[in-house]
Amino acid sequence: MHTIQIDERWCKGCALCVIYCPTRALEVAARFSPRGVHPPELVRVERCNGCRLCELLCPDFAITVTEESRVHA
Amino acid sequence: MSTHRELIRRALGPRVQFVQGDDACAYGAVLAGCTFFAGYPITPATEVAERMAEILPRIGGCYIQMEDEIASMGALIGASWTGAKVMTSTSGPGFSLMQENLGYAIMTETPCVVVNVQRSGPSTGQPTMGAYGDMMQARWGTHGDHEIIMLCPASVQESLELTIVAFNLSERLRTPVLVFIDGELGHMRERLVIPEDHEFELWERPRATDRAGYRPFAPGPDLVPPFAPFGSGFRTFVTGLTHNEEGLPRASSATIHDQLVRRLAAKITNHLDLITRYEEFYADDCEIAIVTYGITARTCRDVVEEARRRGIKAGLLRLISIWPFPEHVVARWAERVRAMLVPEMNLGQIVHPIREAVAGRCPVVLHSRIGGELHTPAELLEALEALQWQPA
Amino acid sequence: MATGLRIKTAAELRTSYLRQEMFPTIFCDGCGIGNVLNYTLWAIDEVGLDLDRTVFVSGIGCSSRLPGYINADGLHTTHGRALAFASGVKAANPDLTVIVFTGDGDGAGIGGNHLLHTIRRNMDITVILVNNFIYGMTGGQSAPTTPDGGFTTTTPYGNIEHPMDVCELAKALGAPYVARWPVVSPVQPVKSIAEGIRKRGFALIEMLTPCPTAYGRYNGLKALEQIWRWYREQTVLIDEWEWIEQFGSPEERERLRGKMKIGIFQDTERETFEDRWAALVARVKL
Repeated sequence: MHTIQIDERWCKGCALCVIYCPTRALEVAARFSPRGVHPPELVRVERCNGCRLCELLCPDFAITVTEESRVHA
Repeated sequence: MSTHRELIRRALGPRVQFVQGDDACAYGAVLAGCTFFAGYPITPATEVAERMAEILPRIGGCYIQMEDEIASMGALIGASWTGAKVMTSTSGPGFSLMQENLGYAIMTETPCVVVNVQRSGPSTGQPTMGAYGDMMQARWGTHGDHEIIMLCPASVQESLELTIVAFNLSERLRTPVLVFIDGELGHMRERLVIPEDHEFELWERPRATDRAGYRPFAPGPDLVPPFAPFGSGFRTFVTGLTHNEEGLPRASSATIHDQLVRRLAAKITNHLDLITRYEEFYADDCEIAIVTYGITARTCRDVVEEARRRGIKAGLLRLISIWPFPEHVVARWAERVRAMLVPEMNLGQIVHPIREAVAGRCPVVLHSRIGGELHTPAELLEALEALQWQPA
Repeated sequence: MATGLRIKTAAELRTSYLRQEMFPTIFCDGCGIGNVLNYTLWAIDEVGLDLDRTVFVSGIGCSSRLPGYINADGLHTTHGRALAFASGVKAANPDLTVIVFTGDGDGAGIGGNHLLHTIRRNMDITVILVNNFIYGMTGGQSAPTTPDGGFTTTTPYGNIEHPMDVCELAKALGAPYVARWPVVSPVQPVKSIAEGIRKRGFALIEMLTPCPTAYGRYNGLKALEQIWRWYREQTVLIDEWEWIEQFGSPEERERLRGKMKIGIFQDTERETFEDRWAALVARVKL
């Protein structure tokens, strides 16, 4: 299970991550970031397999994928 | 293994030699600890590069001939940022090409020495003939507000000595320093005595030591920031853009620009004590003064002696550091004399700051000569005599 | 480079390589120069460079702002002169790794003469030439690489000049490593930049870099997805190109017109200026 963090000071809303996410896990958010751009959102969490292509393609180092360790009940 | 200084001694050869002004500049650089020369051939400065190409490999230094003078100035600055003492030499056309990067060296406080062996211009002009037509270019050649240090020898011996001084000032104040000779001085041979190490001082640029509190362009007490060479782990960012004390671009900040540019200027003008050099003859016993510089001053020594023999109370003020202009010295002379003769091998350049310094206290008469020949003693004597009848 | 790339995380790259106080970058949203920076950091990590002993040199222009963003020694010089400054750094201290960021205008326009001679001298310098077909920093004027017919603010009726192929030029001059990759495929550039850094001698990696704001906007490629697709369609691997030229149908050959070759143009060995100068000094030093 993965989540993403967006550094909304650095993200310019270019949407490259959304366009090229191989599993279409990301969407362009409707809301505005403090910079006045639409950042990406991990809407389909289950699809994110942690491939980090979004990190590699981000021109602004604004997106980071983190491993969520599954807590066994 | 002989020390670096011993290598230099052996590379320079006998203590007393009969060499050209160009050679003397190269010797001075090597004595000053220069280990890197980037240059481009141009009459009448090529011999400086030739000497450096001979000497530097023999002392473990680096000579690199670049594709043009712009590249030479660029390579110089790059090399200086590795901590090396660096020099280039050129003449008018090349000096014109170097202007932008010279300004970059000023803005980034990069120590370096540029020897300009002036030739008769403008343009291609008279490549083999000496002149002093670049004097104002030295001051205002590069764009924007700035100060510059320019020294003007009048002999082969002094060319060596002032090149050492140029290195010391460039290191101490982290600034480019210009040494201006001319084609005559550069190509004529004279007796040169190579000074022993104990006969001169060598200054090094202030070094940054504490990486924690390191701010690459934060001024020390004398407005000069401590230097950390590339590769020392201080991770310095250097830019020609207006930058803050961390060295980071702040091109849109008026206050940061104002502070930076004023500091860079004050860094020079606050140290006139280290920079200003001149020579006086009959300062306390003259009514008419010749004020000049460079090779012309040699003719004037003769003229003043002959004039005094003819009962004219003449004196001579030879300016050695041209920029920053020593206006206090000229002003002091203006108090004492009734008239000033300013012979120049151009159509009048240094006569302007001289007049500014004199501020009307006495007439200042320019005596120009261009075409590549020196003033003759006779013509200057005649000019002096004409001056004598100036109304008191 | 048979081995796969070790996956680097953005968090890792941010902390160990970036000069974070300089962020966010000056680049427009979607500008490919940010990608070039990302790939360069991957390559640096791949090679394991010591950033205490690495100097990034650049001239003036969008791509020349890159050294400011990397936490290493940086030298942001004058327009077109990066290679001359870099040569001075390298010649004076050959132990330093010198990497140059330059643009198509900065490196092959005003800086063309230095490109020729730095290659001729074979300085051990890695040059990452960001080719976005335009002078971006000044708002979008035509560059030496602007395609035939390309629209810019100074070619409002279409560029009439033939664009320069910087890689063929570098190859002809004998540069030991020459490669061209589009930003739109990340892995090859990372490997190629790493190979360039490892190469002993002059290494040129030309990065075809989308400029949505200027070149894209003036040439109907304003949308990022559109310009990235355009780059994929306009680039052909060298071996494929040569195969088509030899065995392809006339239509296939015709479709090559106006496209760009990508891949490794040259990968040879050549004695460097630094090695030869060191040998000379060893021979003549007193």
